[in-house]
Amino acid sequence: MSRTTRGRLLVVVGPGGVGKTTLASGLAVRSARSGARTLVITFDPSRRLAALLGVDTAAAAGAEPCAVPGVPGLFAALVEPRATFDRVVAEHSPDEDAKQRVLRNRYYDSLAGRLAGVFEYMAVERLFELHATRRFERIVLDTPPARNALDFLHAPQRIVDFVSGGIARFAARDWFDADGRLRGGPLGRGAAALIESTIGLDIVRDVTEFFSAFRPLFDGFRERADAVGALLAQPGSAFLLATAPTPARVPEAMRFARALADDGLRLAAIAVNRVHPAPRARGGDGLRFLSALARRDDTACASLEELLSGTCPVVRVPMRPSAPVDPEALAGVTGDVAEVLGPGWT
Amino acid sequence: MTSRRQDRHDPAGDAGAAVRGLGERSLVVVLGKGGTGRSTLSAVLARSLAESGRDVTLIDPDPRESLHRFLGVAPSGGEPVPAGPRVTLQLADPVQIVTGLVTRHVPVGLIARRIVRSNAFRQIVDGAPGLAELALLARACGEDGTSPRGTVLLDAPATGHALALLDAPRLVAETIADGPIRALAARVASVVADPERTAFVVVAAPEELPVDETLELLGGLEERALPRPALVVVNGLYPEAAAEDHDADPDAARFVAARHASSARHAARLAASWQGELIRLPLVPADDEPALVAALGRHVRDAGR
Repeated sequence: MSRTTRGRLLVVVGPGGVGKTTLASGLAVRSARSGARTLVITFDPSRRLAALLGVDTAAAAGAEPCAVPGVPGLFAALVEPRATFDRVVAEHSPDEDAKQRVLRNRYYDSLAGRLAGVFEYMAVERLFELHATRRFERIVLDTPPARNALDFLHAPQRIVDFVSGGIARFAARDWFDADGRLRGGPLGRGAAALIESTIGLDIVRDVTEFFSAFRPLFDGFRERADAVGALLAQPGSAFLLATAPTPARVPEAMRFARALADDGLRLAAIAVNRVHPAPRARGGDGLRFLSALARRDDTACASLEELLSGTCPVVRVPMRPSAPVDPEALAGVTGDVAEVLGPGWT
Repeated sequence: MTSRRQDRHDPAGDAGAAVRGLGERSLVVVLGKGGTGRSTLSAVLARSLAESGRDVTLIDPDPRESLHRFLGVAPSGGEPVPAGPRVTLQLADPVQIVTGLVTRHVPVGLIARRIVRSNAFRQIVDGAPGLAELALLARACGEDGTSPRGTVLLDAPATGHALALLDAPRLVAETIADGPIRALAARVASVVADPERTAFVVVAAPEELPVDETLELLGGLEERALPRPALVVVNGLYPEAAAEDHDADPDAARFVAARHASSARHAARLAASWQGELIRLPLVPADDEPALVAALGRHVRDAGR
């Protein structure tokens, strides 16, 4: 496989708090240093990491890729889900009026900020936009922190289904008559009194208005979701699951590996991050403590390796004495992972 | 000023009293991002209150249920289930709760039931600002018709901002018309804002991003005139490296020393900005969740002495 088709997109998924953004950034540094023009797309970096990547600027807040200081060929983009959603609506609305109908809708306002799956879906939209520019040989996509790594995989389809269901139910015709009363409608007979006395009709009005307004955008919306789905399934795309060496994370990692396999997507490796090093000798309380931690971590890693029985490489990423503070250190953390990912990432 | 494992910023109080005081509230909300040990702490506090003689209901807001593992019992599947002496575990499903709320307030009939079970209704509930979060809080306050036993401990959702949970009653009041649900939002808002009835516990990891976020959260709570957290727990500190350690394996000892210094530094940064009760908990290398909960429970008990 040529360098241009292999290793074009790496999606780093995993629960919050395990060091995903650090791993994604480190791999992106290595990729750029190997000579490939690389973009890392990130969501919620710490202040220190944001400064390191050069995304703590006004330009970055506008979601434009910025050059990463000290790493020629590496660019970083920060994604803000709500701004992305607004831009998608703005760019794909048939006219200004249609655009405003959506953007000003209260139900849209609530959905765009909190509906489960929206953040993940916007990650996918932004990926699609940036990939289509063809400016980068390689893209590393960091994903929003999720309770469960599976959320990223299923979110786009969930959002598409939610919207298409909504359009089918609420936008098929006008549910309110000329006097503002709710007709039979999507909720059936008898609904008006029930709805009015509990949550109120304003909500229903907002909902029907939103789905009507969104309707002209839907086909394009669905096409892009399909296109990204196809992009994720291409031979040059792969997933990296970042996780922690604690007992609770093992079954979750297994579920994720199975889900990817079911969807025909490639899990390149599982990076178990921040594994404690075992001391080489017996000492006092400090070393005993470290030894117990190293044993716990080792048990979790071994358990994962055994369950996977070779179907996917498990890379133990050693914990460093302190958090990486520069691109060199970031690259250093991801050495073992890069080796497993293969040529182009080292 | 400091003594062993507790910080005394308020000479009149102490962390142990803060923990015991949680049992005097009807609601304790445990806040903290994913990866900080919030769920672990929720289970620890539940056990701790139960041991001091208080009945506790622990609420799991995650549809994929995970708190049961920390208590060493089978998943609750939605019904309240016993999870050890004086502890009841319950999963809270917002849509189910909202359905209950709606059907409680109107004559229950086939039509009403059909409406609330429809996908269309569900779609409205999914998007209605704050409704799902309000449902969770309503269950936690016992305002949804259920009568939870004893003190309710709500393990706040991991993702999204804790403040979104707490802003829900206000959001609902702004977007939902006058009626039983709006009235419920007002009642829930008053329970949550009352320091006699509700206590907040904030959990943080001694690392850069978690401490940044915790400081933001503390500021956000203050802006909203919500009760000041009864307790902040910094979870996961490394011990110091002893002389013996440096003699035996200098590299490993330096590693421990560096992690100790880093975790201590981040904890200190949080303690410096937080003028209230704070407990530092060590990292505990346990093989399973119940063992971890038991070990941390011992540390929390000791923090009170």
